[in-house]
Amino acid sequence: MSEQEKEQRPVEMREPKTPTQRPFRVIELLASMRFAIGLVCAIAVACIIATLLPQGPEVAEHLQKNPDAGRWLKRLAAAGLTTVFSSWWFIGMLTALGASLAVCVMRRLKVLVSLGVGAAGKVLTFGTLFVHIGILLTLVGGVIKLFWSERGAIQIREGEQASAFVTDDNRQEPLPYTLQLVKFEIEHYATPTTNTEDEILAVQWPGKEDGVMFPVVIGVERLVMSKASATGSNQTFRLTALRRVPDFTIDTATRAVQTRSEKMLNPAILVRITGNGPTIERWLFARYPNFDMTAMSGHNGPSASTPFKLQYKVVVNTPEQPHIKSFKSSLKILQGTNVVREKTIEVNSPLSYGGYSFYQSGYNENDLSWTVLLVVRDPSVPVVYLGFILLAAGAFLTACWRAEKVKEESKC
Amino acid sequence: MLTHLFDVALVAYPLALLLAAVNLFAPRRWLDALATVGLAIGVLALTAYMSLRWAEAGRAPFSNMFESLVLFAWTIPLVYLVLRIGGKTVAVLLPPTALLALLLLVYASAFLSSEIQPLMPALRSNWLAFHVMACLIGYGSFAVSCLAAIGYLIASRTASKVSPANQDLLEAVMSKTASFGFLFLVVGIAMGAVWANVAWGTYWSWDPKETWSLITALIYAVFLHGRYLRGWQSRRMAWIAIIGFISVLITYVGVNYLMKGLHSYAS
Repeated sequence: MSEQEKEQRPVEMREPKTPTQRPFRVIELLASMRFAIGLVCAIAVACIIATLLPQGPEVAEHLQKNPDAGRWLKRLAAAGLTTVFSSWWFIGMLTALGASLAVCVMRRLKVLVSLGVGAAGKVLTFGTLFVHIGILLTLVGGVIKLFWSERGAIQIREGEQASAFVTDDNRQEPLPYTLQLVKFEIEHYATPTTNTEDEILAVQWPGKEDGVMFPVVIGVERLVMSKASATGSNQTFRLTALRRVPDFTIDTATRAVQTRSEKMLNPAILVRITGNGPTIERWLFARYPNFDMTAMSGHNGPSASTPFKLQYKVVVNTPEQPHIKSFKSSLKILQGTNVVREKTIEVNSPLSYGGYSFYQSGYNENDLSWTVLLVVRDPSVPVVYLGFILLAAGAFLTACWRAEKVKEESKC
Repeated sequence: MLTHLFDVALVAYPLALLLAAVNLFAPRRWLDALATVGLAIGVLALTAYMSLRWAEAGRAPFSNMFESLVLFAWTIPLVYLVLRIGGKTVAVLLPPTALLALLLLVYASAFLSSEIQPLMPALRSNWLAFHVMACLIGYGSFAVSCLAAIGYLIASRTASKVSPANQDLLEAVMSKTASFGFLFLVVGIAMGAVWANVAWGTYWSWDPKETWSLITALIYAVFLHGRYLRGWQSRRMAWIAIIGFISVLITYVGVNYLMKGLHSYAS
């Protein structure tokens, strides 16, 4: 980009002219976009490394699986590459990014106040300003979380009260009130209460343990390849389930097949078998696997035989274990003997009171009167949320402003 | 009904692809219009499909890989159609857009179960719909940005065959979609963080998916600074857009299958 082009850019896009005095050099470095872009790239590379290498507790697990990796893992650990997100150099980079953003924000504010800009420029200036302040607030929130947040757990039984929790580093920390568990329950999704059946057509070759199985679907043709070792030649058979009756019976006068009821008392299917010879239609019975009845008259005898055994199987499934929908703990907060707050918490619906939040965390499988609650005190949340709002608003303003700019460019 | 709507998209996308491909070699306005209509029919069919699935399941249909891929196959052509409605005649991007959407749909229907499964407790939240929708619109924008970047790189190598106006248009589309993708990605990450805080009591835990979405955001932050403030050359911007989309793919697919974390259910 030529000097002339640089000067033609809107004022908020220009990098401020740099004073050359020595005390300003650090600030100038932090204000430099080249430095900021380099820093962002370095943070991205560090994040990539952190997702590719085992981190923290994963190292021990990795060593258990690959004992030979100990030597190079030690080297990586010494370089802080197995604890990237808590290493001094990564936190240092985030701090430098925060400082760079702070300088950038100050300069943009100065430009906005002292020079004034056009309407479109203001949108961009406010947009980028919001984005940068949003990221800065998120980083500040991270610092607050690091130094002033607390996390722990309470394990409590129905009817019992607790006025302290155990922190992650095994300290007993008092609560400013008393917490009572009224009830813990597990909610399940509704499941069918009756048994279900799977119907299968099984093809078994003589002398072979393995067979082929097809789900029974009326009208759908299945292909079965004969095995050369069993028959001496390759043959293809087509099997089609033509009819299914749940409770087979036959009218002795008319020879018509009927069902006595809709209950699976004597289930049977009519299968058509087409191969090189004549087409066979055969009734197969789930309860009597060795009994078959060939439906086509005139084809009983050797021509009606097949080189494989056909079986109709009905597999009964008992109702499966229902899926868990939610874990619920009904809680009361007491100040002395007064109930000041009550709520039934579940995952995605915690209880917040007096600076502490209680999350549904776990339960005791062997004694469902117990619940495990996660306790969090995190003063950084409002700061970070404000950062998110500014970040999103700023990204919206800049994207829309740039869209207008692109539209203008495309008209030229 | 659900299957039929899905099948309509499976037919509309390849039809749009075929017509758009023919239009590239024998340009006709009616061919381009028909291809765009085909793509729009596919998007409408998937809109109806997801709406019905939403009604049937009683929750947003974005909770597993099948549903997520269908959403992705919806957002990519949607971003393209929004560009068209906004007056950007980028017919050259229609075939790869339709192809990408088609591949996603084919993979989803051939290899993944479309059965509606009950939600695990952690996913039973309204944030699910907002978070996934925002991220996937962002990914769709980045996909179109990447396609425009590839188109720009090809056009700049065959400069004599492609008019400078078309090159400028591709460059403008690449930047614009990257800007909108960044907006939606940032909003999606923020919503995911709020959801994580409500569900697990922490808004950030350096989970691999979170970390890779941050990496993606950082890459596009560099893109936007380079494009709008540093005045970097368009070829360099195109390469960054391609790297950015590779990062999107790692965030979207790679992390689910290769790394364990809070988002493991997504695989």
